[in-house]
Amino acid sequence: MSTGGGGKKFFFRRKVCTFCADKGVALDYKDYALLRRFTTDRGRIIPRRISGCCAKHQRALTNAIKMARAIALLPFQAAED
Amino acid sequence: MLRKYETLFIVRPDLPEEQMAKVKERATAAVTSQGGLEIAYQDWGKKKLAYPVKKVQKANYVYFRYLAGGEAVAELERVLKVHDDVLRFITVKLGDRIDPATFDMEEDRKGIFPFNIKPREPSAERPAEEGDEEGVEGAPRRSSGSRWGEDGPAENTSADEGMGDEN
Repeated sequence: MSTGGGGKKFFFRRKVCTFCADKGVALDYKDYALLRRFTTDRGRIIPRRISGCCAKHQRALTNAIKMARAIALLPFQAAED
Repeated sequence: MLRKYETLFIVRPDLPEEQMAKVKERATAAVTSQGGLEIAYQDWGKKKLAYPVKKVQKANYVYFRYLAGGEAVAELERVLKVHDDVLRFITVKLGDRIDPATFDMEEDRKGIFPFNIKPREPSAERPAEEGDEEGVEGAPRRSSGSRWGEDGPAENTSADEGMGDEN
């Protein structure tokens, strides 16, 4: 896909899903250090349009984060400092 | 044919050793009494909780992996729920239709890493970075530089192509 040239100001880089790119990384709710990279500092899940994850992996990621929250590995809501 | 399950639960941090042993005994007994087989029972150490649970800020994470049928899970969860020192638990099915006769427990145990922190050889492309992880007492630290840098998932975007001139 060319960006068309026609006066477009922004180039959109196709983001590559991190989990598709690196097959060695498995999504696991116990891996809170990994999951935390996909949450904001307030504890919210980073949306797909930002994280660049594919739908399949974003779904798995969301589930993993929610499971991690259930056993207090990740916050539902982080405190504001 | 059995199924493979894991249960991760958090226990009050201030328990004396014999109390912890009692928790273990109760949990394993619940599974074995229903015809289950213990694969691994590990204490992953104390970790600060992401939020207080029953006024507790810090708790012991305990990991239990076993082969069993569904009844064993029901029994184990009942036991954990009743136990006052167990704050939370989560059970996940890991495998289905496993024949205990051919199952290699030793091999399976090798795949268990506390909080998935694997001893990894440091990758050459990314320099070692000391992370901000508060860490787990008594658990190995994640080898730094193994995965992503601080900015995490967004970072592959800048590495490719090298053309295009957004500022």
